[in-house]
Amino acid sequence: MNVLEDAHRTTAPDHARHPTAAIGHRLRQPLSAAAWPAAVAAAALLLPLFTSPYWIQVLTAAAVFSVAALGLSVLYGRVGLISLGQIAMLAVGGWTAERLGQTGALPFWLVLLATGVVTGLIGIVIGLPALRLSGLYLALITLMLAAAVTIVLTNTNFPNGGPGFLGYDPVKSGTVPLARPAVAAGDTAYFRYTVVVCVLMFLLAIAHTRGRPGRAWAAIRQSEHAAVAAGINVTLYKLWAFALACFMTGVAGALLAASAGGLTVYQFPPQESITLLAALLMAGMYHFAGAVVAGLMLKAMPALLDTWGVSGNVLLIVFGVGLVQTLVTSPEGIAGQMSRDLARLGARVGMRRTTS
Amino acid sequence: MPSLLPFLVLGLALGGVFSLSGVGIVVLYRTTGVLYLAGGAVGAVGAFTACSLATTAGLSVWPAAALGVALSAAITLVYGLLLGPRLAQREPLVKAAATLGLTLVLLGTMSWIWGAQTYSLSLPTTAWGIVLGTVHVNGTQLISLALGLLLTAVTAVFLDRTALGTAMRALADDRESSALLGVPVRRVEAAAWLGSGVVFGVAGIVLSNLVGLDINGLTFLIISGLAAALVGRLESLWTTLAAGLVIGVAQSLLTPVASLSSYRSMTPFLVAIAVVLVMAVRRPSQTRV
Amino acid sequence: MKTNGNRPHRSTSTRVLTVAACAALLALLATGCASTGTDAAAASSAKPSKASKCGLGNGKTATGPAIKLGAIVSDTPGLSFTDVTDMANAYFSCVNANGGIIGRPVKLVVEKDALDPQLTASLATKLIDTEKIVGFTASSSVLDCSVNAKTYEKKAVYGIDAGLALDCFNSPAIAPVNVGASYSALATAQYLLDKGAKKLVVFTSNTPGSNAINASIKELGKKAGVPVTAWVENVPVADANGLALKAAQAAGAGGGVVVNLNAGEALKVFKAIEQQGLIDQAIWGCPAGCNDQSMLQQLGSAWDGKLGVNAEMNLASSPGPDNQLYLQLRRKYAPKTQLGNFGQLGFTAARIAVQALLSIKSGDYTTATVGAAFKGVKDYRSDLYCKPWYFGTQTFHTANNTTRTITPKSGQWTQTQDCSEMPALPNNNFAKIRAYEKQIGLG
Repeated sequence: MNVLEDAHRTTAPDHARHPTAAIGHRLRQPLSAAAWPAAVAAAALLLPLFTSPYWIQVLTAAAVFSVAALGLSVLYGRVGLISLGQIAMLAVGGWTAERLGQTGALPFWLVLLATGVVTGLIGIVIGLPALRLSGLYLALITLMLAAAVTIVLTNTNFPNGGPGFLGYDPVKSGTVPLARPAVAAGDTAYFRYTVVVCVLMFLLAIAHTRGRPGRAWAAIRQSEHAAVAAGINVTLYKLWAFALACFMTGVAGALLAASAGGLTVYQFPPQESITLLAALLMAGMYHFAGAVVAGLMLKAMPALLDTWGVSGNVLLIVFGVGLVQTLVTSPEGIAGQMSRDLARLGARVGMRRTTS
Repeated sequence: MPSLLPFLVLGLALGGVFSLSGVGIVVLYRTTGVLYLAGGAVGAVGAFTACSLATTAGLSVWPAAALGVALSAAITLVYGLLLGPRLAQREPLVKAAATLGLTLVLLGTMSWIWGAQTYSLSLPTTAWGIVLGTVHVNGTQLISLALGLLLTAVTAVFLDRTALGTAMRALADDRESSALLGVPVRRVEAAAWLGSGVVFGVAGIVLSNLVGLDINGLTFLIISGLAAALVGRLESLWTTLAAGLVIGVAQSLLTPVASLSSYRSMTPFLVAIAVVLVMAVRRPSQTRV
Repeated sequence: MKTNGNRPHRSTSTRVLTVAACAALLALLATGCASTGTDAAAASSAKPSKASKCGLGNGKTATGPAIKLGAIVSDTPGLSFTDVTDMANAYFSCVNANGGIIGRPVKLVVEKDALDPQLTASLATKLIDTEKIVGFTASSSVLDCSVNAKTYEKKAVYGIDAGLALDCFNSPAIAPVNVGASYSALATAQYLLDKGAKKLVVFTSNTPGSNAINASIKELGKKAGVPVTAWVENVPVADANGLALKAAQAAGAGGGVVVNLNAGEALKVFKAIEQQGLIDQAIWGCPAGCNDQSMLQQLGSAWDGKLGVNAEMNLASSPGPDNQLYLQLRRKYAPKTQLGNFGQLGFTAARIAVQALLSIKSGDYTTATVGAAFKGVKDYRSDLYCKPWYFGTQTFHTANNTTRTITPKSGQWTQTQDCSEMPALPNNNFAKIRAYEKQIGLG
């Protein structure tokens, strides 16, 4: 019933398709799963030593968007549920965080957590109809929900310290970012803080896919009927996936709210969710590293193109072509190909060693 | 209380175009299995091209509009011919997602060419108008409503009475068996792509007269047509027509209502969400495509 | 690899398809839709004076390390202000060919932003910390002031900009050369009252700060004893016809309507007004955003004399020496920019910046010296302005507070109301600004 049933064309990683393989994989390489996020984190934390404050800000946004991509990657790549409303959920997370934060009563980490819980609950509410919908209809519903949320946010605006439930003062102008934690007041410190939180989100996702939920998702993705027959609580695990994806996206929204500049509704147009899907498909839907690449493609690539003097519209065209291209030919994306190439390289090196 | 009658007229005109694209979506979906989400972008390209041709190439408006529609149809046909077969075995979600790729390509291209300035396109019929009581109705508004009604009727008759129409219906019911029975699948599909391309092109030109020539606006107005098509369960032409008109009218009647006015553009989304949810509860088999 | 290896031709042909489609489109439409206006169209009845000089005007090419200024400009579909920075660059090119700043060239580093606050914030960081610019000139961004004004104030980097949001006019670090959407809407409302509007209707695009604009017009109505109906409108406008009708109904007989949207959105509404035969049902006005050449071309003759547009600068057809220089430089360096307002603003910002830089005698161009020089500009006179421009020491800046109103007439903008003062109201700063101007001898 879902995309990956079309198994002879899509080549998802084996451990994702066969639950048992996932277990085997885990037993063989217990540390490998956490290894690459740790490596990315280490690199990212050292990065400020080598780059300019400008790139620090750009990469902070990229880190946030990689978590939004991660949410989609969990939903679509693991469970086969597509959501075209991830960017709207990011906006809802940003709104919630600003509203919670403007009272000044909660410490920053608690704002992050509370925002995640709120969006996670919203995710469950969205997930309920999703139990009865699948594939195409779910995608359309989430796209329309995203468009509707955008219109509501246009009318409510992001909180700027005003009174009432909406926390918006129409006369006050200027964007008001969420107050940062004391330990991460500067841009560089905040970048490091963001990277740490993002890595935690990736570890959370990896822990899920390596554990019982991951096996259940893989079974559901393969065949819902078989999953039911195997005694898997499909309802629970589908809702769990929605809650997890929306929790992570909400936390990302909260991180975005405190990054430089504050929030406006115009940065979350519904088509951005389509761009996110395109970037993630190109980068690799079935490997979490693909989410990192997608974040970079969405936020760092435009900055890079800009320094080269290339119009941002070119990127939109590239994303469009890439989306079609990936759907037609290589559903694994860049990250999938890269990891396979690396594996082959490793195998060759290993072979040479044994022969010599 | 301001008079609602003029808003009813505006809503009917807008609804006519929503129905137009809705019917285009339904026919294409039934025939090829592709939910074509690039219809709005394709129509926008046609409208901007017509505008370019009319202002810089010195064409008069009608030939320019015809060429614009031809371009919309050509893009749709080429997309269908090249990607249709490649994605034929994939399930509906992938087919629909690929048309989002086309949407992004067209959006990027349009922003590149026409992003910097303001444009408008006026059909001669827009300047022509009649006054019915207190309400001013212009030619393009009449055309919009008429096109919506006419296209639905013609398509219904076409599917019912002609050989090509019968072949299209056969494909919609069962592709494999139709192919085995000698229905020329490729040719029938090509006809559907071309026909719906023309419909989206016409909708784009008319919409650019009704709501303005604007890249993102025209591209995402396809959602209103899609909402109408969903209400028709991607199946019934007449329900789609009615839904398009209802959405257009409802949205328009909310305009002068102070408290709801700024939420009026949510109408198509809310209608579609509500209908899909009701469908999911009542007929779960249909929403589990 | 298996999937790819089996079907290489497919992936290639997909790519070829899309590229071919794009190429065909581009080739067909390379020229765009509306042509930009030419100088010939701007020919005026009055005899034009000789153009002003660029900077020192000595014809010597400037050499040596450039003095770097920065600008952030919005460039997104439907909202593009690159004409401002393009014309600023045109003026700098001319200055660099005419002795520069006492021999040294000026370089304007332009960064384009969209509607993304993180991007806008990072570009400010890039310009200040990486590019090491010494000041801002001709920035014209939707978000720049809202997002970055506090940073500029903190880092004491000063700007002579073309401001859009109200935040640009309420920062000690930014002095706009223009009027801005907010005050321009107020001036438009005043024009409608001057034309005898018995009621005022205003709708403003829904962005942060739009309610403040509506509130100021309500205050104006209260002062003039005229009822005001105001609302905010979501953009993009999805049903211009309905909006036009709503506005006309709200205005009733003899009312005036301020269409406070950017040019693209406003054009949709004006077309809808025309289509429904509503032009003569109200007096229509639009703030400075509508002062746009492509807008003029699209409006057509039906609007001749029927639409009042607030003008922050003198007409592009005016005969003054500064405007002649603007026309000359546009022809030479920036022929693709639209004729008129936005280009003139960029040109003016660059000209004021050069005047300030030339006043630095030490030869030392740092954020501090350039900031001091910017702040020291006190009596910039130009035929593009109604009054002299100054930077000022106040925390709010609107030196350009006396504006004209123009209207389309046979394919040209023509003046319909001469220089008029922006109305001073309890909720704006114009009373204080005028007092300050008296104090520094410009009143």
